[in-house]
Amino acid sequence: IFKKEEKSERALELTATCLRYNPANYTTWWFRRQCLAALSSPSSDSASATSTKSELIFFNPDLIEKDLRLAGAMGGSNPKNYQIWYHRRNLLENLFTECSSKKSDANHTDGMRLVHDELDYIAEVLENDAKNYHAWSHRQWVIKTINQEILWTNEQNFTNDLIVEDIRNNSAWNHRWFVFHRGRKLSHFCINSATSEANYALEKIALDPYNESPWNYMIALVKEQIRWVDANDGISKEVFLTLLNTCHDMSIEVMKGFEESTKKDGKECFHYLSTLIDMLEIKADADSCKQAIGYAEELETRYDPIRKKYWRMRADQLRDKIQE
Amino acid sequence: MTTPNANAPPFYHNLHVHYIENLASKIDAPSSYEGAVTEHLRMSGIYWSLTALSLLVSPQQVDERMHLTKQQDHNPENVLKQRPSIVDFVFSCYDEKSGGFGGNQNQDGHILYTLSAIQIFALADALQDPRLTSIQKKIVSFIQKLQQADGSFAGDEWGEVDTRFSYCALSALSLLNHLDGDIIEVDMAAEYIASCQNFDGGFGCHPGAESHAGQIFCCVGALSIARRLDLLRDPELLCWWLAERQCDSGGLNGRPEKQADVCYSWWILSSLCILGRVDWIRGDKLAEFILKCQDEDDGGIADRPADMP
Repeated sequence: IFKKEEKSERALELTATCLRYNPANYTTWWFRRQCLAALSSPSSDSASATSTKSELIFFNPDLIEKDLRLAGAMGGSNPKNYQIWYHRRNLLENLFTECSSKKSDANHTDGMRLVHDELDYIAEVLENDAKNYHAWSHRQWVIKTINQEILWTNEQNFTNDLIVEDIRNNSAWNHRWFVFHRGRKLSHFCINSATSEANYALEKIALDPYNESPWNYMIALVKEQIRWVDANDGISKEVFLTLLNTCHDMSIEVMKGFEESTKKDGKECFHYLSTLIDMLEIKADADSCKQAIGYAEELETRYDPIRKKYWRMRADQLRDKIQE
Repeated sequence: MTTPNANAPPFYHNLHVHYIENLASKIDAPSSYEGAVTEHLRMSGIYWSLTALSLLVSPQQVDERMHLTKQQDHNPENVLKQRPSIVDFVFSCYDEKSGGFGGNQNQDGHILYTLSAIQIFALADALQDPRLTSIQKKIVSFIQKLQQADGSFAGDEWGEVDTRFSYCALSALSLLNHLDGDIIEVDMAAEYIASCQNFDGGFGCHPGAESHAGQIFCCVGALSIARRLDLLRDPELLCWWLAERQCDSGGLNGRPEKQADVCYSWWILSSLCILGRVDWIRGDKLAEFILKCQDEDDGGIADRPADMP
């Protein structure tokens, strides 16, 4: 069948059988799409239907739905299979691109229904494996392609739901950053969002400071604002320093609370001192740098010796800064 | 760099050599389940096995034990033992239609397996094999056609885009000595990769995708080959992110809050080497972790201690 390039219903069936044995065989998936394209084309002579580049293929929505179900059934036990995720994307690509151009036609209604179904499917996969890399990257593609404000807003809530479920879910934090920046459309948080997101991160840090993600998120949003100080529609230095000082002071507050309630030494959480060093280095005055050097030395010798060379380098850099 | 450690078992050199040798015949058996499910990526499997073995024994030994360049048995009576050499096998996976190599025979050309094929030829010292030089133009053209308008690379003619494929394209062309000369837009390729830098310093499979050690290796490797490491916005933040992957066990994880896994040793150490910061992690502790992942009965190394190799 493959050699003859027969692209019929029975060829389609055959690919399904092959895929049950080996769902990672990319050639089989490709051939299956060829069959679907042929069966979707208005010409009844399916053997002669040619498909060139994928942007010209519009699969029949019924066939799309059926195949999504098939892929979903196979995907169940193979949530990390690249080919299955790519198959979903390939089926939906043209329909979704059409949806993003706000025409309200039958295609659009069908398309939007499939959008919501797809987001539901991805959410289901994430219920079983909340850090599934393919699922998240596929979700980003759906949201970015449709590019509707209501979906972006919903996603903000979605990331919160997942973070609340597991504050250590780095994928959810990454998605949050992606969503707040509307894919890559917004180059930075506006100052109000930066402030509220910093508070959000600190809230989560308070629940468990031994968790890399919110610390990375917070320091990244502070660093991002630096580029907008005194820029055209940017922020003033004072406003930036308010944000920086709030993050610095609140980090200390949060860790004090942690120490009181757990009777542990907050410094043992190396993310804490690491973030303070970053913030003090941004302040850049001599006293801040000296304080940061102190923290770096503590990390090197006591709190994070596995990365001692890194901390030594940071301390040296800070000493150079003081000299300047 | 590392010294023997009382906390870890020794390195079972010979066991690993045998493990790799036996893997080939085990997987080729018609009844092998693992063989069936990994059939489509056999090319890469072969490359990984050869590279590993090359670190353990001499090139001549690799050739003899794995039949890299010579057929297995010339005895015409011993039909069952007749097997082409690995190099012969690789050529049999060439897909005329696309111009690239497939993961196995009768598979469509794909950038992943094209790179693996070229890497195998390099290991076998076969880059000047006339069978290769005669198709070289087509291979280069296959790769060239995969570059998209934004500088990224697809995996095959119909396929997905992923920074892994950028790495494969640049590495393959570099090995074939075809990186200079306007075959692909190298700067655009590099700029696309740079656009995948994330807020935490790392790289994912597309712009905005979560930073992941494997993807970071591909991006850093690609930028290095393209000689555009200057495009790294914050190399120290990236190296810090990589250094943070070291867990208490000494092993490295691939993303924050995930388990250590031996494979990340390669992705992360290579990236740190390229960026000159390999001393930001403790090599001795990593070695300890890896040694504990060995199978002391049959050889092979698992993803973490006590798992199957």
